[in-house]
Amino acid sequence: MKDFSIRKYIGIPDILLIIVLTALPTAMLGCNFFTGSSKENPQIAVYVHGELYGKYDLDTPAIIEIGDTNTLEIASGHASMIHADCRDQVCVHTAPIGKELPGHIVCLPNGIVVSVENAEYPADIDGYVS
Amino acid sequence: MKMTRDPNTDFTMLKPSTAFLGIFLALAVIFGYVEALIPVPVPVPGIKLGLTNLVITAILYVYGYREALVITALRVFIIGFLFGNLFSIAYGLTGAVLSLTVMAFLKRTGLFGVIGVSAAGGVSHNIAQVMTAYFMVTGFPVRWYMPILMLAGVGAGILTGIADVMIIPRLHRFGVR
Repeated sequence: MKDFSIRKYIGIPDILLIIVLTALPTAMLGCNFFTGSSKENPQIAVYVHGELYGKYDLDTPAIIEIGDTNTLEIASGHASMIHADCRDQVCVHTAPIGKELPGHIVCLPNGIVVSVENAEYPADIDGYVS
Repeated sequence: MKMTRDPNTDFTMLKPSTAFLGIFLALAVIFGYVEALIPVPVPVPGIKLGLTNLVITAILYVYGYREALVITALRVFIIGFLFGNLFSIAYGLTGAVLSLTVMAFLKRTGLFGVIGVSAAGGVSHNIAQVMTAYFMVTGFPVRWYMPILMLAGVGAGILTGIADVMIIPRLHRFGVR
């Protein structure tokens, strides 16, 4: 073991294996950067009883009927619940959410959670009270 | 007159490998603990050097797949019960068993040396752990975690492989069997 050289222990198959094992994750990372840049625009995601009900673009105004119990409105980059068939109307009174307005709109009686996805909020602000 | 030997009391009848494997198990447990103490200067949680992989790969080469499997399973359970919980046992077991199986398979092909085998072991260990996390944690960012941990696994595997290249011949010379 006096003249120790790493060459004796690493053959061409080893080097090929290591190259493949390095190239694979690098390619995956590259794909992530490419697809990540096109998927930037924030979306409104609606979950009913924990399952995805639908995703909607924040920039296109829309009136969304969630089942036949609730109605969500997307207008000028914000989403807000405009109708709920329950008595307490907590979700209707919840402040709108959007690109600059983090948070969730939750309707407990109907099991609905509305949240913003892919949005980046300024890190120095913990939250808004409106 | 020939003495009758009882294998339950006569320790000279035990295979020497039993004692050596016990030492290796203790070493693997200690390495797992020492590793938790070493801070890794990267912002991604989960990247580590894989010092236990050093021991397990050495056992794989000096003894074989069965012995390495027993030691690695015992190691995961001991570390899990001492320092972790049921989740760390699940993570550890999937990672350890998959990486050991991949390493044993690659070693069996006869194409690869210790360094290549160890690098593949490091990668498969991290793949198994990311997959476990994907099934146990909802919303786990696999897309980003998988490639980064795979790269880290290659690096750590090469490093432990280089160390094993120097360790395994010395173990043989030392009379470990």
